[in-house]
Amino acid sequence: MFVPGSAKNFRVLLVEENPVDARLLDAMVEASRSGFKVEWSVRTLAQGMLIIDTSEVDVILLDLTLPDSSGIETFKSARAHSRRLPIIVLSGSDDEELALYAMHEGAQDYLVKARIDTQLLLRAMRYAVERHRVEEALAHERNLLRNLLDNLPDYIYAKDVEGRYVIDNRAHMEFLQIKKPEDVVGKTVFDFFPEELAALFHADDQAIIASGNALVNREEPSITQAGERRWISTTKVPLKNRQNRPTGLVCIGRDITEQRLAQEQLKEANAELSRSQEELLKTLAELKEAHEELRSVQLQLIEAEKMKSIGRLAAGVAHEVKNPLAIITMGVEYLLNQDLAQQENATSVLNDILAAVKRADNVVRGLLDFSAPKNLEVRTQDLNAVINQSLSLVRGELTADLKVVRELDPNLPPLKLDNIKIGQVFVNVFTNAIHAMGKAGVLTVRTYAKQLTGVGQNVGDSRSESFRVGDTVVVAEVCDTGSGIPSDKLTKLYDPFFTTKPTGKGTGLGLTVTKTIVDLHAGTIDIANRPEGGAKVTIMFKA
Amino acid sequence: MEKTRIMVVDDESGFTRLLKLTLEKTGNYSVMEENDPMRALDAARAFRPHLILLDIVMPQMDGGGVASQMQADPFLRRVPIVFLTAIVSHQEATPGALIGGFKFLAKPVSLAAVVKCIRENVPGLAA
Repeated sequence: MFVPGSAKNFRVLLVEENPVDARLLDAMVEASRSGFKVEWSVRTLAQGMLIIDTSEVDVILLDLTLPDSSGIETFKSARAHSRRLPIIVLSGSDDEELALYAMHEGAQDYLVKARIDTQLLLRAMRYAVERHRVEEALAHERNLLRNLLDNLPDYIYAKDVEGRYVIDNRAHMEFLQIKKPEDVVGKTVFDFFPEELAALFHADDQAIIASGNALVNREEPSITQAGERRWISTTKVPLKNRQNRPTGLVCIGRDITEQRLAQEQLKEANAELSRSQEELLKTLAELKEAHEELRSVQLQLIEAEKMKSIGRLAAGVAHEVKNPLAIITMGVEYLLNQDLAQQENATSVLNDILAAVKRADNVVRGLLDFSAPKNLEVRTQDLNAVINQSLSLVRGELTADLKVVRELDPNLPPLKLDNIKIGQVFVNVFTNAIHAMGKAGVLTVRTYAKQLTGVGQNVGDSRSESFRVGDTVVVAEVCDTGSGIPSDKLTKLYDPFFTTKPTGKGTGLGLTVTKTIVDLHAGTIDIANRPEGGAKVTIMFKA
Repeated sequence: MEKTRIMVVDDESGFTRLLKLTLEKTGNYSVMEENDPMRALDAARAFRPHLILLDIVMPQMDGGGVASQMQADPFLRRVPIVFLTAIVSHQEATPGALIGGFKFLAKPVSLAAVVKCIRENVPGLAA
């Protein structure tokens, strides 16, 4: 490095055809004791180039008119060969313009030979060396910065106040699909992006320059030259000069498309997960509900089965116990009418026996009462729900060829019912229908509400005193495709112990109990044969 | 005076024998027992009863079946039938109750109830 007054010698290459001029210049340098020394003095460009190639030259004094080259070509050749060494052009007084041209092309200085003095020469050489050193340092720094910028994966560029690119790094040039910096410098976003997007970018830039406020890490959509959509995280910082006037902005952008995609996928996966969880919870709740329902149905089924068993047991016990009781009674009656009755205490003993029989009879009757309908527990009910419950209770009796068709009106008015007992009614009716159909058939259950108009089927009937014209009634119809009911049996259907079923299949109490329950609800039940075959049971309740 | 002919159809022979003995002891009735419901129709045709006491729960044929046979017979159709049944709850055993349109007596039955029932149901024997 050149430091004024330092001990370093600066080696000068002198390329001068004229030996007189050469000697004069050499002498000037020598005499100055300035640290400069003409190390090499040659007459041709070729010789000069050889020195440049093989030696450590600090500064070149170059005459433009040489035996092997002349004019500006001399400078250009030397310049191209000298690896940026400082060159001071020596010119004749007649070609000063040529010298100026050489300056423009990179010469450090020019000296008109006729006017050279030692002072001038030294100053020119010092400035040349110093300028060269500073330029080298600057170039080094510039290269360092440029390398830095170009090796960063982020987009880095600067713009002037008009939005023209001033600096652009390699990553951003690749994004813009530009090869050389000069193809982007001076251009604006409008040269690279669709107008609408460019206008947005430009507006942002102008706002930042005008406000002086930086924009930090804003995620914004952009588009490549190939038309591919990308997401860029952008930071833009306004630039100001020493007078605090805006001079443009610098921007760092990072392509976060993949990151964002991953984020979105994560978000989606999270949403999917929470959806799945929700569904899982819902399913769990439904399962719980179904389980509760199943449990309640099971309990009712057990209850119904228990009652059925008790009814069957009661009937069996009644039959097996009452017959012997009948014999005992009759036997005692017989004895009472015999002479034996005259014997002391015999009558009272026989009457005691009769009383005991009566007591036993009462016990058996109590057992029968237990399986017969009792007091109602009325609550507001949806008849359809009761029907569905009963259908589920007789599901076990259904076969593959026994179909159930439900035509239940969802808008039935609520009814005041004892759901257990009405449930028993429908279980009885469905069971009868299923038994009547055997292995195959269709059981149709229909509900609807209607207003009684005029004298209809059930109005005025002695069985339906509770209905009046204008009343709204809820009707349940149960139709089967079975054998129907022999016409002579139709009037006996509700009588206890009358059954058309084979022994063991019915107690003969079903419809008796059914009728009793419906009567207790002030409703009506009507059983008829359908013209198309099978039976139809119509049950009505006042709404 | 002609005795009132009562036919009792019940598979319980002990019951029918005692009913026969008891009723006949009064001197007013001639009682025929039939323990096989399948033979009831023929027996009734031969005996020509004034009233039939008919058990409901019997093997082979129940009281209902026997009753419909009787009612289908031109000679027996007008003969009153009273059911005897062992399976009746308190609620059902109300006065005037019917089974399949027929009157009935609930077992165990007293002699007085049987006599009352005969008087009420055999024409010309009004109490």
